[in-house]
Amino acid sequence: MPSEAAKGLRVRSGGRKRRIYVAYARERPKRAYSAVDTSEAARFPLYGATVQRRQVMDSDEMRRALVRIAHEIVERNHGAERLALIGILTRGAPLAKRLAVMVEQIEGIRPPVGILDVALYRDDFPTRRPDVRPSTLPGDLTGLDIVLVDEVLYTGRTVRAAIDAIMDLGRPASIQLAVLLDRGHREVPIRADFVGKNVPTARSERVYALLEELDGQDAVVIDREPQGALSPEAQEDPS
Amino acid sequence: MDSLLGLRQTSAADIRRILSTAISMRDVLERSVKKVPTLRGRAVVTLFYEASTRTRTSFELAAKYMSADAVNISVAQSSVTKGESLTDTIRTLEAVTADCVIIRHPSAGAAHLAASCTPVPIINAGDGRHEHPTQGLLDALTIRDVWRPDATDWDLSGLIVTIVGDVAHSRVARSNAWGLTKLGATVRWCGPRTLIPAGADGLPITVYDRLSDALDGAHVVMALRLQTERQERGLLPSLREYSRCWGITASSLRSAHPDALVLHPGPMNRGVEISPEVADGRAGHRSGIGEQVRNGVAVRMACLYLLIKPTAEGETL
Repeated sequence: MPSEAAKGLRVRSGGRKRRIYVAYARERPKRAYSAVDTSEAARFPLYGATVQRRQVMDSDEMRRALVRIAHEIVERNHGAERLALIGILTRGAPLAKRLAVMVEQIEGIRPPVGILDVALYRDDFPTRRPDVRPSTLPGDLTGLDIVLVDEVLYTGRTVRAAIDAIMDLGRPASIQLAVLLDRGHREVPIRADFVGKNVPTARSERVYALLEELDGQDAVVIDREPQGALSPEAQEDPS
Repeated sequence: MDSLLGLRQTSAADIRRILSTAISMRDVLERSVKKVPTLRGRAVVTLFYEASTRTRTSFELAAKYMSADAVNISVAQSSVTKGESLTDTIRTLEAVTADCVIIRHPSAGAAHLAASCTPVPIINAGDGRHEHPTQGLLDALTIRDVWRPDATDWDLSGLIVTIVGDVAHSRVARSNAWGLTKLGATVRWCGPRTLIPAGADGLPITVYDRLSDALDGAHVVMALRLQTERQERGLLPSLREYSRCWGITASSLRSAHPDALVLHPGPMNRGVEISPEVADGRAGHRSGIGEQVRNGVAVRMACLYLLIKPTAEGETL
């Protein structure tokens, strides 16, 4: 298997097409959270190769970062009266809910929480349309200070789509951005107002922000394949 | 999924994906500004060889709400009157860079023929007596909203859907038979024997001769339009007799489920296949007829979204 795979060929296996990439993925890695085996801390085997995994945030660090972001949000907006937190699906949604609870603990007011799906505004799905999920927004956004919440800031394209979506839904007083992790490699001029942690990464690395609500634990891990080995793309091509 | 030609060939998984997407599209319809940029720069052509109000309008609005450019070809003023064949017309539309063609045609199989001669996605908006898939999908969405509002898996099993009237000439009845049974519902057909097709045994349905038997316990009652020319062709003794034996009225609905949902694909002949009280929901049963039209736009937006592929290059801002 590895010898065939190392040639970078499309191999047929079990009647289904599998695409094998060598060393660095040319397409943007699709985050496959189901592939993260949370019980195995450091490494997992893949087509005979191993992937190096480092944890950059544990549950305590994540909690502290979110508490700090909640304080910064309240400070920047002089309170929480006109605030609304909007989580970008999938993993921004539980983070926005957590931040709303923390803001309530600080200010005594729980800001409304919305959930936003940006599939209709995306530009970065070359082959297959992403599923469209319903958005739920807290009524009229006009005049509110909106804080968009997402787990990882990478190219900035998701945030660009989210800003367009918000603009179509009303005219907020301001739009700010809070992210748990900024991994760099921006492709559009967007920066976050509130950052949990800045982590320099390589484009070939894959960042997974695991959340208690969806994944059973809070942690941020980064996978990197050793030089010359196969990338996680060697798993079944999702398309 | 490359084209939507009929629900017979569409897998249950694809049907569920279209319907789930349609639910999200309804969010867009509820906004004050009903526009998303998803299909910006794409062209959608509607090619209708038969008259239509709601199907054509809803496809056109669906395209425009997604920011696509919609072009209507009215066959009466096109080269079709000069004798251009369907395949040549389709190839012409491909050459003028249409990204999706929506076709309605009086002959069964016209959409399949169109799809076979072009890589452009084709949506069947009704071909003869064969299929009208988007109508079947919007009916499934309307039924689910009323009877299974929490069913994210689109499981309609246990529901009885009775389709009454001219099923022989109805593409809506066929698309519903395939689509609803794939989601688990039981479909019954009922009508005078002259309006039941000879090949009904091959469909996943049961045929009933008596209306009261067909409506017994039915959760959904769908009345089909009776085309008046059927009587002229000798299939019916009189419209009045048809109305008395097969019309959906407050009294005939007594054998149905007390909360039965009444549907009609439109346009209605009030007082023939459906009484005005039932159509307007004044007879104590739920009428989903207005909801059907509204869901039609959402379903058609979902079909356009899923069928028109993103640009090959992607990655453009």
